[in-house]
Amino acid sequence: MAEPGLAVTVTARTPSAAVVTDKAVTLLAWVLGLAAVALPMGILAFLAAHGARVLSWEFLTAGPAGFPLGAAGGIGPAILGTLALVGGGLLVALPLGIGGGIFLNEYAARSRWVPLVRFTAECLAGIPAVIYGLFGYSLLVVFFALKISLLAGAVTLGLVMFPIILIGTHESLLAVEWEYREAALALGVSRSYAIRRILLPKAWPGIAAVVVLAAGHAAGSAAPVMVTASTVLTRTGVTLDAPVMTLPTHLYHLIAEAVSFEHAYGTALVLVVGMLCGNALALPLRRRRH
Amino acid sequence: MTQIEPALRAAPLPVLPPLPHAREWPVEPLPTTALLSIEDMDTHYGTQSVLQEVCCRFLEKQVTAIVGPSGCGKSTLIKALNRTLELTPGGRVTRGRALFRGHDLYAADADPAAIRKQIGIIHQRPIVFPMSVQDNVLFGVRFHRRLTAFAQRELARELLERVGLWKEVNTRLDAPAAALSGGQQQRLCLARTLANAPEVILMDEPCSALDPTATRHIEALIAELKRDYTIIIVTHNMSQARRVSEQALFFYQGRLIEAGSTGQLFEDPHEPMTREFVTGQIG
Repeated sequence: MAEPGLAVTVTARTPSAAVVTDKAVTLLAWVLGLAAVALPMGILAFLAAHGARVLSWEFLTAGPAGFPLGAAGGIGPAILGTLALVGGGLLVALPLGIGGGIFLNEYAARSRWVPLVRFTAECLAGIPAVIYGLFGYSLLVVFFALKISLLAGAVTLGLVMFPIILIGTHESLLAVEWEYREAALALGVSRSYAIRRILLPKAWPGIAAVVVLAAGHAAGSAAPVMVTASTVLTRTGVTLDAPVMTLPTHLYHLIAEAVSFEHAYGTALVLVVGMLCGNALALPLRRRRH
Repeated sequence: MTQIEPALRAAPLPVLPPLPHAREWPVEPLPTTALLSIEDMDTHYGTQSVLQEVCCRFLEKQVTAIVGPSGCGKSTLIKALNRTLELTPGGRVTRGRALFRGHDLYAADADPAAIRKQIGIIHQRPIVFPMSVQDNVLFGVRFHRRLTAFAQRELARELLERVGLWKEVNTRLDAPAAALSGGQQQRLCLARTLANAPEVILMDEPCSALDPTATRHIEALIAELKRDYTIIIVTHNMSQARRVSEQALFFYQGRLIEAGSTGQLFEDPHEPMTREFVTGQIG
């Protein structure tokens, strides 16, 4: 019905059309939301159904055994190797990524180079993992003569995690309202004091989330460590200059060589549950204190 | 400029030279011993001009209100007074000087951090930091001075009492400051600024986000604090300017139109534009 005084005729939507649209959107949201929950839970349930029966204390602690290798025994050295590689990689990626993110947003924000650095980091984050493996192999293993070792693999995984952490830190700091910087610096404090006491605590939940994401991504990547750090069997403990077993490469070995699908499912289950535990342990870090 | 030590605060203010482009202010004679003086200042945000040829002086231990319609450059002016303007992307002083006790705040050897400590600022929206009430109060002073835990507690209590917040927060000093009401947060920000022992407090529409009760609290505090501090308050609320200030400046489109005592500027303005503003015809 046209409203008096309006040149354009305004027709009210019928209430039923609005109600139907609203219900359809609500239904779609519920379906997509449930799918988002069901998909990872379904994968976990599938892995548990096929791999749970091999899980035992021995499977989690012993080395692979049997013929072909891996048909019996466990994945203890692979768990240790993965933890060591991700831990070592974080030692490289955290200072580079967080420091780089802070530099981009807090010290070089007005520089015209920032978009270029961000673009490069985004490209780096999108590079297939196997290329990191090739780069790590040619630079670290061959050129720097680090051999196939935990050190070469950890540095390579650090390079995998670095751009993800840098982008996440930059975004988290960007999300902190500009007024916090002004209010802090207006008290005559230094920029580094404001960053340490205010900006990083404000940005921390976002940074912690992205660090956990990067660590999970690195822990599950076989390609970067395949030619830089991993081996199919280790008898000694984990040392920097020796190769290590890793969960993803062990899994690849079990499947590609058709060694034992049951052990493969068990290994995959341990990898996924390990990532879930890592995420759960990081939850307190991601909580905002104030 | 090196930081001015408290002992020097007792020293007489230097006599200032005549202002280059000053108009015939109704304040006669033009004060020659102002604590803060702005001489022929232009400011820009990027390429956009905000203030043009501003000349004014701020008297010691008095409250000066800066009034004018939105976008006239009031906030820019006070940010230029403690070098927080340059913290805003693109914001800069492009001409002129700002003198504090005769020292040029924009001299090559001037230390912006020391200036900001001496000339504190309260923003329009209270920005409390993600930490406890006590840590908020002591945020700046912990950077500038080394204090024992006991001294910190005592200083926090003293400052919170000074801003009338102690009774309301003494049982939750370790609670997050974000849980306080807007009015309490603004007083907390004031305590945080006072912790630096500044000589001048700049207030950028400190009550615009507050309810009437909280506004009364802040105004009462201004009346109490002016005994010890020089206060410059930006406000779009003319009643508030009349209530709290002794001197007033009226800005319009980046230019200082009129300066004088608050009573004269509001009751008997000399400039037609000021008259239009105080009678509500512009703004």
